[in-house]
Amino acid sequence: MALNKEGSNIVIRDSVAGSVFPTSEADTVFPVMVDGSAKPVVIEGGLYGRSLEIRGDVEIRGPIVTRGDARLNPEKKQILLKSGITVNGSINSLNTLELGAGSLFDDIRNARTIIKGDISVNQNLLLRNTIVFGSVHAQNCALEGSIVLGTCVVEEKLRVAMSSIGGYAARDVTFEGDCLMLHAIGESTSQPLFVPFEQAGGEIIPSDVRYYPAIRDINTLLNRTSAGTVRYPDYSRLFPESDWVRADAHANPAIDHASDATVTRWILSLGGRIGDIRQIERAILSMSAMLKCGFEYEHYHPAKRPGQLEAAMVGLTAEEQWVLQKVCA
Amino acid sequence: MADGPSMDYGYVDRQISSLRSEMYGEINDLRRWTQSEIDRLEREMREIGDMIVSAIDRQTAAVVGGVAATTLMLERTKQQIEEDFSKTRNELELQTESTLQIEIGKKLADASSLKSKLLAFLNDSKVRFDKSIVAVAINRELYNVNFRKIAEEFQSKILTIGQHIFQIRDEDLAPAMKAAEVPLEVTHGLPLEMDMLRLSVRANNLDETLAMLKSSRLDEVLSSLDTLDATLDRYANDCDVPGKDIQIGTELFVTSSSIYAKALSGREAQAVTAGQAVNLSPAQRDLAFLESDAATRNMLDQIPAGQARDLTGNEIVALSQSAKSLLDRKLISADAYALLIDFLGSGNLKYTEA
Repeated sequence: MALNKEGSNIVIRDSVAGSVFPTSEADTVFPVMVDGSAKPVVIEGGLYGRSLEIRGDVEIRGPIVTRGDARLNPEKKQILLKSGITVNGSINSLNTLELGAGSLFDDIRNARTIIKGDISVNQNLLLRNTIVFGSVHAQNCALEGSIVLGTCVVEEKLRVAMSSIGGYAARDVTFEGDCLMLHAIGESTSQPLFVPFEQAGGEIIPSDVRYYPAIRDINTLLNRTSAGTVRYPDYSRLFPESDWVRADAHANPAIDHASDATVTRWILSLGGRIGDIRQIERAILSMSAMLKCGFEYEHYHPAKRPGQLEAAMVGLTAEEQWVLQKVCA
Repeated sequence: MADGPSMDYGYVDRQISSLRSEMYGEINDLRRWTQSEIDRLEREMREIGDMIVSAIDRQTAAVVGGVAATTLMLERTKQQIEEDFSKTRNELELQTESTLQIEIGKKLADASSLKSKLLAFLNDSKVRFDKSIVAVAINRELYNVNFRKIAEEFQSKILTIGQHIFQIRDEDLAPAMKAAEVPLEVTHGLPLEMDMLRLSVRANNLDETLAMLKSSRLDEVLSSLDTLDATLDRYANDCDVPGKDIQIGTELFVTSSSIYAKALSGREAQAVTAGQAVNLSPAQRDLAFLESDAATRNMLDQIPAGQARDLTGNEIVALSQSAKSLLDRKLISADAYALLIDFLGSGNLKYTEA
């Protein structure tokens, strides 16, 4: 029996061929813990629980919905969520940020958590050492050493620390340390803050935000400036003074309440830059093909999947190929 | 026999005759005695018969009397028997009737007792039946109550389940539904508009810069060129330049075989349409004379005999690639491409420069 009731908890320590859904009224109020500490656990369907804790080597192929909070604790292993997660409370990564050897910055394959699909959180979201193959929606969001290939839509505060994001729409946004914008798309109500990142040991990493298509040839989905392993061209840097512009605009329905009043926006825009648009276009088209293949992969005919995946691999960097391969496997 | 006494047949015959005589005597004696005995017995039997007859006669008389007496006795006995039978029958009838009456009385008594039992049993059954009806009614009512409870519980459960479902949909799925409400095109519309605005502003700035550059630098140069052209035109109108002495530098493409030669110059390849192998625009007016037969023969005459050479492998590969490029750009048809590839493969193509 893969599902055990221990006290008032539903504990899963073995793989489940189907979904983990409540079968009685009591099940709707029971917290669920998926424990892959001792051995890998694969849940081939979806999962619903009052709250959720995931430990160790766990793969959940279906969508996840929890009413309360969700805690992700990979414990030096890897959590793979392949159909997104929706949480009415908060999501917290319980592991610590890893920046040195053996971390995501050292090799992208060291990602502790990989989430394919959107993350929708009604309250706070904290992700560490995580790759998100989708977008993020949250009240407050903090990303540490993570990669979000989609957009971060945050109603209040977005904190991007040593992370890469595709784009953002938030009331407040703060970039800490080495950050990377996969697309030059972003807007916030307040002026973005660019502050140093202080590591646990007290080391300070100055703020440095780069534009991914300009350094994509170097094959790096993370800004590894402080690691010193790569040297990026100056033109790849995003400058707060020139690349973020202030403008009055209508309210954004994604983060503001409906209103006809104009609001002040701080917008990331590269429209004023001079650059090789073909390079940017190649990067955008390749990443679009990657995201398209990743999201549509399960909907392809099984016989067509390898061909579609192989076609999408063309033009991707090694790190992008690994991410796509991981979420499609 | 020889050793025994000697036999004398005569003696034997005598003995035998003696014995026979003795036997005859004896037999005759016995016959007489027998006959006498028979006679005696006949007499005795006759005497006895007579005695019997007489006795029978006497007995017959006695028997007749006895029979009459016996008949009388029998009549009497018959009457007695009839009387006794009648009495016995009457007695038996009386006894049977009394026995029957007793039995009937017993049966009636038993029946009376059974009736009371049956009545008691019937009453008991009726009471039980009534009680059963009451119990059934009570049970029915209890079942009704339980059914109502079950139905109410069912309704309650349905409502609870529905409440949970809607609660999960409205509350738990709310973040995802809220996130899906606004498409990313709308979410990121402003940065894209800003990009377009900044590009437009930058384009205007570049246009202004170009206009300033033109006015400050190029206009003067253009004016000088116009002045120069006007001056040169004035000189041109005054001069008579003989055509045959003119040297024109141009690129000419000549193909020739033993039966056909053709020169092409000042033409431009255009996309082929259906049925066309190649679509070349008309030659430029100034260079059309180079495609005349006379000009073609003149040019071929100037090529020394034997100067043409075979193409190298690299040249054939380069030509094949060029042909493929023309096909991809639809400047030659697929059939023409196939013919060209076959021709290149035949090795009949010669090349020369003049």
